[in-house]
Amino acid sequence: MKSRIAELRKKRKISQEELAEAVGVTRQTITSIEVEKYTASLVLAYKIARYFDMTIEEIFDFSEVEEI
Amino acid sequence: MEKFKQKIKKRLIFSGVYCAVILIMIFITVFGELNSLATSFALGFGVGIGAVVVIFMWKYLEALKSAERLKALYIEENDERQKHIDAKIGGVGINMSIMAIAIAMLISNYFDKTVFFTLLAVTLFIVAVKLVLKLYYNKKV
Repeated sequence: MKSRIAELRKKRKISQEELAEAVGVTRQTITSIEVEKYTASLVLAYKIARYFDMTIEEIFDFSEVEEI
Repeated sequence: MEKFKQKIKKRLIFSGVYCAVILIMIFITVFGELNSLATSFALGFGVGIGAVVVIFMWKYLEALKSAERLKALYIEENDERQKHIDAKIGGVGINMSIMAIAIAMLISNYFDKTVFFTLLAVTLFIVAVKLVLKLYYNKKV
């Protein structure tokens, strides 16, 4: 899933490690989310959104989520 | 974090008990002259695991010394991606093991009946465990 995490991090000059520590995951998890290898859980997405003071939809792109 | 701290302390106690048991086993084996192949193998295996336990004990003790290290350990153990990977390894790993053992079982049928029935029992046991876990988690989750 596409996200704006890398873009927001760079804008606010935050390292992956800093973000990872703030939301309680490893740096590798943030890397995987940024390169679209891993999709964050709802709880993690919420924590990331809160960290950036935004909503989940503003950070994660749900346009490619398949509708049944 | 307090809950996690208690969990680490409990692990330290269990690890300490394990190391004490291994020391007693070494004492009994050496002074009780129980140096058969089976006891030596069991002791060697136990000591090997004991060495790993000691490394973890050291890691836990270091974590208990500072809040920063404790948080790092907490993140390491509770990282959701790592948990996802572990779940995948468990599921896919067991399926691959069942397939490998089943193939070995079919081949062994042509050479040795004892090996064939042993592998058959192992395959059925793993499949049974998998089914029980599937039923359990279908009800639980």
